[in-house]
Amino acid sequence: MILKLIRKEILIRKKFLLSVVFYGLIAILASILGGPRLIEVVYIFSIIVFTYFFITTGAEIESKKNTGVIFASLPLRKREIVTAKYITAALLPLYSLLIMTVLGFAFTTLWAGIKFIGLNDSLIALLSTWFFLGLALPIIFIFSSTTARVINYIILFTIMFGPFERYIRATQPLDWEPILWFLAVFVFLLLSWLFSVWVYQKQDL
Amino acid sequence: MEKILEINNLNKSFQDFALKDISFSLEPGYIMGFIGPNGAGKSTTIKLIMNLLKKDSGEIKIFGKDHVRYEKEIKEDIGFVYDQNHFYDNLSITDMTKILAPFYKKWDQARYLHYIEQFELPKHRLIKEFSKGMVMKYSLAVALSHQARFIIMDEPTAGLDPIIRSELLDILYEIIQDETASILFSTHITKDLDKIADYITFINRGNMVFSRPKDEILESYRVVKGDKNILTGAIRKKLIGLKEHGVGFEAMLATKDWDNSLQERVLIEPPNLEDIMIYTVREDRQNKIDS
Repeated sequence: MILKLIRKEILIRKKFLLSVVFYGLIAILASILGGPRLIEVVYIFSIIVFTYFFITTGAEIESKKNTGVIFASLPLRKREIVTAKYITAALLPLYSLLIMTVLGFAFTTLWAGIKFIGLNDSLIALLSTWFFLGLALPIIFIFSSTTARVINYIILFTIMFGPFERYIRATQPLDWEPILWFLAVFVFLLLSWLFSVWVYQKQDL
Repeated sequence: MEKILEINNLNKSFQDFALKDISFSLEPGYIMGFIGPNGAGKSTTIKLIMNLLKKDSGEIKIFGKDHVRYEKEIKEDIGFVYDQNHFYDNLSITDMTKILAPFYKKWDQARYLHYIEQFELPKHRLIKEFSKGMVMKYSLAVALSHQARFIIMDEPTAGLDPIIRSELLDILYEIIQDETASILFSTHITKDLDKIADYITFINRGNMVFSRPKDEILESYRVVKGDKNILTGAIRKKLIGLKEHGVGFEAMLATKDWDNSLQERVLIEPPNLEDIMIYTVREDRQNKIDS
């Protein structure tokens, strides 16, 4: 059932998934024009921003027609609906990472002025995006799509331009403990999922 | 035989509305009309049955099982027709069905295509270009295509033209012929229920008015019309939803309250469901104003 729900998410968001290629291209071009400060963070920021748009526009589509009613009337458990949302959202940064890697590879081949996405960038992008999702998804389940969009926008910018950015710029490859960080973010996502399941099960549609 | 639906003392409160002690049940093989004026609580009751809303108290059993504990299993056998368009606007019905069909173990694609043809729905046009009636027909086609034993319809005939409405009623009649499926049909177009309903459940302002066999209900009341000067205090007390105009009056009277002295002095007509709903609601409003 969860796989069918993930398939549903892909089917209704296929235009968005295709547009990631276009926006990735725009992001890299903008970073070239913006100078070294932007080039440094373009991959990480693009991946987290794509995820933000994926979940907020998704919430808007569902809230506009209250499509939750359809899925709540299918032979599904509410827990499965929430789980599918978490898995799809968590897969999106991996997909965006793949797209940005391919685009980055194409650009570095054409022009040496832009750096290629490194292991450190990839790990930080995934960790920061999953951390963001752990905060953003329960907000989407609790609040209306408009309110959730504003709150998540603030969270997104805090993550992007707060301590994270300084950490990204200060850190060097492999001078940190990625496994511990992944474990911590995984536990955080798990707690976030449990909370969202509890919220969704209590909710009137 | 196990009941298809059993509701006991169902309660749900909102800030400005409360559903109070709703109880009724539905046996296999019957169509139940669920009637009441706008805002009576029909959609709220249906949403509670579907566990789209959380009940405050009471019991809901579908196929003899608790509707929350066995939600997934139960919903495999429920066909639900929504009162609004909840489908994704930017998809065609073919794409929407690709999403919905895999969730049902007993999805019958041939039957689905049969209904799509019968309702003359364009398979590849986007749902946002559909009229309200077309969306309702699509919703019906989905609800009828997975061999559901219990069809719940929230205002299904609203927005449908008379021909499709008539076809729908024929389809519903066919469905219950094998005496295992049942239909709960919420509507304010009571004319549809005159044709097909076996039972009627009537709610008003969140309260149960009655839940009884349709024929028994129709036999229980009479519409009476006559001259105002026969309205004594005792007669007024017996009349339901009394409306006075000019020199005359019209009202409904329970047959158990029939007074033989009226025989020669009033015009007596058998009521239809709409009459029963209108006079009952009017009586309730008058009582509310008086109190």
